[in-house]
Amino acid sequence: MTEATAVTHNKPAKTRRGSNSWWNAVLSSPSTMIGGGLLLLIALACVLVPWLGNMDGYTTNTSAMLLSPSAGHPMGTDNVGRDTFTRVLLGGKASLTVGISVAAISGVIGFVVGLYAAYYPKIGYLLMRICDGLMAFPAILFAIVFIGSFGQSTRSVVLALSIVFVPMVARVVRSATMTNMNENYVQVLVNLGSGSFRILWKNIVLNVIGAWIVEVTFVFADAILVEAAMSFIGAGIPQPQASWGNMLYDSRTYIYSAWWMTVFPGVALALTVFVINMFGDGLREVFDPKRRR
Amino acid sequence: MGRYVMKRLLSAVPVLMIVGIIAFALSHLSGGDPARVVAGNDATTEQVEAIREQMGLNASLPNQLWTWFVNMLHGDLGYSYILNEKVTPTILSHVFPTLSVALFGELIALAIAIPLGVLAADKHGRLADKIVLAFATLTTSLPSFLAGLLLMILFVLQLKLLPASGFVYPSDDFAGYITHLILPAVSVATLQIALISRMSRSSMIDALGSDYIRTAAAKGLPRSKQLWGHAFKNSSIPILTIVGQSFGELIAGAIVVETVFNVPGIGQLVVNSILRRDYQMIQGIMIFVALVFIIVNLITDVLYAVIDPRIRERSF
Amino acid sequence: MTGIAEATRIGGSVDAHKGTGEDMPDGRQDSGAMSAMLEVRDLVVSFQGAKKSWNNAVEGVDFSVRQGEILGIVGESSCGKSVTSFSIMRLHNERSTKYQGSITFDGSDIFSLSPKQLRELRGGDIGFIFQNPMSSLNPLMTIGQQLRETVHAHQTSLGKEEVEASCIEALEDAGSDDPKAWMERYPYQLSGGMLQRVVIGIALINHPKLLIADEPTTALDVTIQMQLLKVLRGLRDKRGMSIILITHDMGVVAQMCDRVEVMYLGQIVESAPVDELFAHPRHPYTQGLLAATPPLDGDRPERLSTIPGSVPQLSEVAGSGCRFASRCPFVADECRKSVIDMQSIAERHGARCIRLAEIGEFRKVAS
Repeated sequence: MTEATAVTHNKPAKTRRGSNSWWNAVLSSPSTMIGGGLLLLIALACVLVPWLGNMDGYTTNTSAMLLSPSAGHPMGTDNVGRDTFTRVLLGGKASLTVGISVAAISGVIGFVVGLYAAYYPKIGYLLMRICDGLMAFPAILFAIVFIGSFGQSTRSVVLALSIVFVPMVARVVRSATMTNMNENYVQVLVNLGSGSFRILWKNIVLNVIGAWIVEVTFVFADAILVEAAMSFIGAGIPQPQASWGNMLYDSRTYIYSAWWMTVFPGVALALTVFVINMFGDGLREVFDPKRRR
Repeated sequence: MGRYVMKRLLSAVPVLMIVGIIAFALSHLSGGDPARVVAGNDATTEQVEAIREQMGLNASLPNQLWTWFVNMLHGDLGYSYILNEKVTPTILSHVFPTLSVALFGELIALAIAIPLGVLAADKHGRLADKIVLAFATLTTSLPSFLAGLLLMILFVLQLKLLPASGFVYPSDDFAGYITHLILPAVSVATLQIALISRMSRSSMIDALGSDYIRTAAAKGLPRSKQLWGHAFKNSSIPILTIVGQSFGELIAGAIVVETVFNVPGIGQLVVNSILRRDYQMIQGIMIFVALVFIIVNLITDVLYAVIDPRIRERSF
Repeated sequence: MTGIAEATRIGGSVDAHKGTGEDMPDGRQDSGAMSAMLEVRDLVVSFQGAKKSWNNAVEGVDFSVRQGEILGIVGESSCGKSVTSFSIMRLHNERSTKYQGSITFDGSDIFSLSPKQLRELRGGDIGFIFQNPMSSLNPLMTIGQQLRETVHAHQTSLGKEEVEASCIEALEDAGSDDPKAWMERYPYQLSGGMLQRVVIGIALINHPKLLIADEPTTALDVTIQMQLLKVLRGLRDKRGMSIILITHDMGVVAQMCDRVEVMYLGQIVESAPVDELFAHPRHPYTQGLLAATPPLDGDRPERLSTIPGSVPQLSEVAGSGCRFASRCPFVADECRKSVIDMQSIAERHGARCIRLAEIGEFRKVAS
């Protein structure tokens, strides 16, 4: 079989890609483009539409409770007469904010931890055992206990989830860095006496960043899911702030009478996470052609 | 084999210690005063002081950690001052329904995901493969509680096929036990199906590309034997790994889904404890689930050795 | 050069076989020969590459194997030896492979077999030995399990003891000194040489008529290489099976084979009985290969010559005349103009070169 491939492929496989060809690969990857485009669309809708339309998702209106979808309320109203469509958009803003914040914080910390854990094996061992310990807790339980200690607020949710997701990012960055540490060019640099800072931040970073971006994308999606689950059991973003999890929490009592209270925020949640996952899968194909299948 | 199990058990000790330290730190590093929280807002300074003494908060922090850790090793996960009950027996009394949902869900997930993954690998690059991949991405995006809500609308409200909520102990009514479990179990299975089918697909693709499959083909073995007899055996270790690694998420999924279907398990205990601000209880549950996670991973380690003679050999 | 063919051969009964071999009509010249066990005619194998294009890996390959004959296919790596041998059992991925031409084994056309017939053929009448014994066996199954399932796949009526007996017999024939103990072992518990004996045992357990060995000793030590080649020769002598031996090693060819096909870039460039090839190599590529091989006896030259350059990609040379042109010391303009056909030299000797006469002159002058 090896002979066959050697005969049929006339160009040698590229081992490293410049940033320019990365960009070209992103442009030619349909799932990255579609996923990224839809994500952008959802984000813009959640931020701009309530603002431009001057929509109100908080004032209760007892004369418009539990209305089914109509022209005035395209997604109906909830049990206290708030417009579901507005709250779905506002909830999306909250969910995306939490997701992006968590991805950014755990992404940066996890990147540094993973990089140095790979470079200094002893510190790395200790850091990785701490990561093992953190990963033994289901994200949602850790976050609930954290909130119990530090108070229920959006900030606590973001902090708790950032801590939970650092190990996931650190693991990926560490193993990618370790793979690179074994490459000849790094060994040459070490032998030439280059400092660790230079080796890590000038040489290895470029080869690790692809795997990191992919992982951070999945953390983004996971954070949104966990936040929704937390809010759904009443331990996430504090009420009455709109979030998809909070809306689903409200909907449970009315699941028999007002299906729209469940279906619209639920579909919005699943669709958003699906789009992010699609974007992440696309990025994985771009950055990690070996695993492309 | 006994030695291998011992070695694995010993390697779990540091993780266990770190789990303990993290859980301890969570409750002791917050700015607030746990005794004040327990006593409530109306309590006098003397009452708070009495509770602080009772909770052992006047000892030095390392001392507290040590006592706490020793207690944990003795199976004592703390004391709920709000329920005035020990945490461990309360948790244990809620375990059965949660484990039923989780394990039944895992069984459903394995029964669906493994054939899907093997099929996708066999038809690699063709339509069936693409459908499986799309299905996996879809189920990754569907959180278990949302799956539960949607299943409830469909099967209970529209089709009126299955009981809406509640839990029946198998000793009372086995058929009822199963029918009440179906919806919650399918709900927690969604994420597992996604993870397991992706993993079995990719590890089967690796295995099918290996030399021993070529040998199996050259020996004249039928495709089914190549797939299940040879390739799957070698894929089962990565599949086992993902099952072990995602067990925590499975339990977490079960906890959230329980609140949808009103199953009187750990999830209900969590939600009630949140309402009661009983964080000792939730902390106990957190550690309990981490312990179960560690034990499950020990079991998967032992199963590796059962499957792979090379791992068995190294451990003797 | 002539010394090589007369060099020490393994096994005593070689000459007898060679004698019968030479009496038979050659498959190449007489395509209707009844005695051919395997006939490959004008085989073209192409693989699907990027953007749905089809790339030929092997083109116009023609050869035949008679009963009891050992045929050597020799050439540098990626010249299509393995592609050719895999095609005989249709082991390539059927979805991304296109076959043209014909392969006839024992009277039946390989390309028109049903999946079931193909399965019966694989491991039944044709046994296959792969290059790397360490990865050719399933690491999680015992040797015994892997042997037994090969019997079960082809002979369903056998009882437990009969299956066991044929496993032990196969391992013994493959040169195992303790077959019973081997059967209990896992692959990681055996050495590379032992594993290759197991692979040979699996290949011959159902008494095949043809054994295809794809670089069977390349991954092994030289000493073990000799032992295994002896086993293969012994099998031919004992069971009268035909063997196709794929190798890049001219020394192995000299010791083992009755006939040789020299391949370069997906084509057979020279075809001859082994003595003839070593005595009178005609194609410049064959000459290069032989000059790069140390003689098996006599004085070793201080330096072995090498063929300049390396094997180019097939896509770079296809359709532009002789494929060896870029590395050939005798290249002329006419070589690049049109497709070069096989030129008949002697009754059973052919070479794909249009400058045979000039090269012969050149050699005379040189010596």
